[in-house]
Amino acid sequence: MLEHVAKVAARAATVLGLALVLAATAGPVQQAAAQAAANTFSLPIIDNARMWPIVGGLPNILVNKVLYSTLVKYDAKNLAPVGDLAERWTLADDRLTWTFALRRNVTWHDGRPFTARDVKFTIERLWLNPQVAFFQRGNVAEISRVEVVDDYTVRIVTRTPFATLPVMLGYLANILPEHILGTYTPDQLRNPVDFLRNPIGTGPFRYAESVLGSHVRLVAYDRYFLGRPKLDAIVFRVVADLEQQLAQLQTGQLDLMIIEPPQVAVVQRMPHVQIIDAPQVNYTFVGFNNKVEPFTDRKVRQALTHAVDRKAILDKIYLGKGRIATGPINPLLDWAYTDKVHQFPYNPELAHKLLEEAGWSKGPDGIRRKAGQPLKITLDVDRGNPVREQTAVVVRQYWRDVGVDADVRISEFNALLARIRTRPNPLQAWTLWYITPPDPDVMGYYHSTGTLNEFGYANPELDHLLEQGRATFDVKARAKIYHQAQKFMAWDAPVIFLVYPAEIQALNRRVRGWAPIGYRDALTHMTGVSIGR
Amino acid sequence: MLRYLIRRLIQTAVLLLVVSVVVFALVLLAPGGPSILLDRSMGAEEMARMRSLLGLDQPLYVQYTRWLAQVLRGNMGVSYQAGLPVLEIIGQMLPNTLVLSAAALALALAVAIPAGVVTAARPYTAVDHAVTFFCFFGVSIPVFWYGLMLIVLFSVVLNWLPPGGMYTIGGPRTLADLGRHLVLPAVVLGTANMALFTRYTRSSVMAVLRQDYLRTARAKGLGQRSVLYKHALRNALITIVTVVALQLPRLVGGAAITETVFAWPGMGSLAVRAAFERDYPMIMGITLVISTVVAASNLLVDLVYVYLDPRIRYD
Amino acid sequence: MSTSIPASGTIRRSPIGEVLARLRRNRLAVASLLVLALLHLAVALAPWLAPHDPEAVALAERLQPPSASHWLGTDEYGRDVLTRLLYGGRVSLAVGLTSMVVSMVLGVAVGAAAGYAGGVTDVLLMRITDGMLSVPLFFIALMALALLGASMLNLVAVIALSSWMTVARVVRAEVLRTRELEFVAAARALGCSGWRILARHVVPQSIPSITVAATLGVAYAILLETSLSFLGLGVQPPAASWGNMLSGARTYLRTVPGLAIFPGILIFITVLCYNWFGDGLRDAIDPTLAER
Repeated sequence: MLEHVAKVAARAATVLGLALVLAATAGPVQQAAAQAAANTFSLPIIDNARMWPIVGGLPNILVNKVLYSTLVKYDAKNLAPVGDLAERWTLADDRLTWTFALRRNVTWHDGRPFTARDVKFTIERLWLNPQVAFFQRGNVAEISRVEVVDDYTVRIVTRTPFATLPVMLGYLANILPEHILGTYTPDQLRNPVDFLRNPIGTGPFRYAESVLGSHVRLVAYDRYFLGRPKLDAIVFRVVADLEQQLAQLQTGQLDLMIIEPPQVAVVQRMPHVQIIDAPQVNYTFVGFNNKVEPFTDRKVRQALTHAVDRKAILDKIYLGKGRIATGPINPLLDWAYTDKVHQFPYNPELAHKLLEEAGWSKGPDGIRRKAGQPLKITLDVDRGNPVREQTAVVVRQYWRDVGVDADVRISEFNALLARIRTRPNPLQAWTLWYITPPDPDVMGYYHSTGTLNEFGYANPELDHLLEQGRATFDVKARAKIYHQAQKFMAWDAPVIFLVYPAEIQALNRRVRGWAPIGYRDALTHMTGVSIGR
Repeated sequence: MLRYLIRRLIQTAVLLLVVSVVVFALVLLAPGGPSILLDRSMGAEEMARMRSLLGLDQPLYVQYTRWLAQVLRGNMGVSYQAGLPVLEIIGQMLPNTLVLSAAALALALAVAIPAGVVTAARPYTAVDHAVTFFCFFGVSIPVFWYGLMLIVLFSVVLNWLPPGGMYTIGGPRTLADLGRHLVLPAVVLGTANMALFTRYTRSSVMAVLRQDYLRTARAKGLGQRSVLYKHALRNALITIVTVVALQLPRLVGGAAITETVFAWPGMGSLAVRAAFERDYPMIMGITLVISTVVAASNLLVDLVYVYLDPRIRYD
Repeated sequence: MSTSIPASGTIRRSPIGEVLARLRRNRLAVASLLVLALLHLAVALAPWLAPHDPEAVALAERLQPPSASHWLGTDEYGRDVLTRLLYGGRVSLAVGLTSMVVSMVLGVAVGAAAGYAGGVTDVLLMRITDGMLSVPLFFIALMALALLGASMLNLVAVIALSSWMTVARVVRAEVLRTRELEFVAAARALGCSGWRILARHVVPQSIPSITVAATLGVAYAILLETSLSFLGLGVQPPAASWGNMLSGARTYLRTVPGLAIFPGILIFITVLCYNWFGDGLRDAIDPTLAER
């Protein structure tokens, strides 16, 4: 018995020792990894991906970007909508009927041709089907019906004039194969397990393998409609831990990762990695619950904005990577953006004055009170993101400096979001971010009936402007409306617009042809990307 | 023996049932809901619809009995996050965790038993003190920190070993490749146990060495070596088997952190992610499977006792 | 265990006195105790010792190297590291000690009740104890914290609930042994109530073993809090604990290593000293293990 145990132990030790020797003799890891990864682009995802674009989640979204196509995608320079599966589109005089001409040389990864029937199927049976619960349904809910004109022409009709339709058709709106899914029941369509084991798309890369907890590998699709991609494969590695991602970036197992400002200094020391500050359509904010005291008072909202040194936050926490936000519309949308709006420079004196005017005056303990009630604010933030956590802690300090009894509560993202979405919203203030489609239409977030209006913000004047903007098709006229909306929102301060942060990409220098935009969008421009040396 | 086995199996079943109720209660007490319902750009309407499609608007006891009935039919449901059957996912990930745990355990025992015997034979010498110090070091260092240090040293600076993963992606899945990926996580997961096992081996061997029958054996002229190996070690093994059994649940738990640090595609890291994402079917499935594995190995250990120690009889 | 039986002719010392005497001879254990005392004193006096406000944020002063005003530098919020170490130590040690106390109380209660009552109670309680021992508790604890959120209360509860079982077993064994001893039988004959005997005579007998479990329990709890911090499930910021300081510092591991080194060393030393002390205590209680 004893000898047996000893033998087993000895054998285990030998195997491990052998492994160490092998490791030492097999040569540098980089070499082995590089060989295996020749002409392969690797990037991390934090969990297993589900290649079903009907449900959300970042891992799914990223993989689906290269596996599937959309009718419309965004230009790699100015993010304007350009054709993907659709070649061009026109709008009828009724301003409701859109006609999309589809590309003729598109095939699914199983070789079958892509046609207008796939579009009709995807929109009617998946996106608009209440039994399927498409996570981006809000973006396309204005569509009333889809007509197949011929194999390569499709007509989409909206309920009301909807100027942003092309943009929305490019936003997480992958087209799925009717010839496979057409016979599925609604129940199966919610989660087609068979299909997920071998998903079929029209994107530049087709599904090769998925090893749970390890990676998803997609390989170049030879008959991709824009020509075979230069890369042989894309590997999405499941790596949840940021330090592990960094180590893999350094040793060459990963070609790209998104870093946070604290990691910039580390990555700068990696000679084979470059840092790209990629602009993306987003903003960070401190949201107020506009339905409850004291945020019902514009003066309080303005004071709380003036109390925060956003310049310092941008410089120190974001390391200057981004610009101070002036409203919900990102400067990337240059035709619609304006910074000629009311500015809120750091000004604690003015904050003090505004709060006094609003009736909140300092008590002996330095805390402001109105009618005996102390000015007490809990600022919520999600756990884990250093920038947001630091922002929350710093904003709390700024508010304390002007006599607010402020506190920070850090909770898990799910719990926080679930609370924000409770009606009535039990929170006072929270700091989060929004990534939006590249369009100035912010109705969903700030219109009094908006489905994503978490701030409880309701203002008839802004409602009217946003409705007008959505129904106006002339670019100049639209821009004018949104300029007005931005001016109004800046002054009314429904939230503190903090920063338009750049996405900090750490990219291996061997990668060529990478589109320097947010990586969600860059992944739709992968055909020209290659691996050098 | 058979009756004992049956009794143990029934006990295990009850235990698993209790665990499943507790975890189910935890899952449903948890604030927030599944991530799948909480996409930033998903409206309240879609969210509510998805909830009802997943059956989450049903009363709790209905949800539980539905789940239990499903499990009894051998179906653990479908992961919200991955969209695949939970059993299929676990089937892919469990072997990876077992490989890692077994390697860590083997490594720990391979070092601990000799170290324990040596220090017991020569207590309070320099060797003993050195080993003891190392043992305390092993149990006092936070696992994630230890792992991070090894990654930085052996992968980033020296570039000897891969920082994470289980195989080189796209390469052939050879044993050597697995070995290279296995070294660091196995060392990290094994260290604390190594320390613990050494201590136990040392004290039990020492206890045995003092016992009368060994004195007799020595007096009878048996050499120190043979006394050590024939008698002391055999008795020490019983202790070690017990300690290993007690440590198994902890080993599995520790794997959660080690796997996360090393991006090892196992159940531990899967469980952590499932918990954060509120992937209810996944959480329930993993808990049940891990508990079963641990219970089964405990049972196995009890049977090994019988083999090791003829004095123990079950009836 | 026959250590409390005095050799003929010597003066009988109380068992606890004997243990202490033996402990005093173990230099490592004594040194550990001294270090621990010093650490506990320092963190207890944090409000008086700390040079700064632990939560005062100053963006202009973030990530500063050690200087005259910040002896150990500042963290990513410009907070004084030394101050936060002192306050963080309070939290870490409080978590360790509280969860240890709770788990001891639980363990002693269960063990004593099982051992003393015997019969069905014993079987039931020991079933539960064994059941909990054979479940991947750390794993379930992790789930519980991830699901319920990591408040200090949850943290202590989870650590305590997952570590009382060994104590329960030890106490039960001790109770079974002492129950039959003469003085207990005498007390029973004198008409003392069962619980009174338990509290006055039986439980004190197991104090040495409980103390060992307790010291090791504190070390375990501190380490557990640190591990949980890695997953974001430890003490929640902006409050400091050594665990979350170490875990937060990994972001700066390669740029500002000082941030990680100090909490790391403190955790290591504390856990090490508790282990050493507990080990010394064990040897002192059961000299058959330590003495030749």
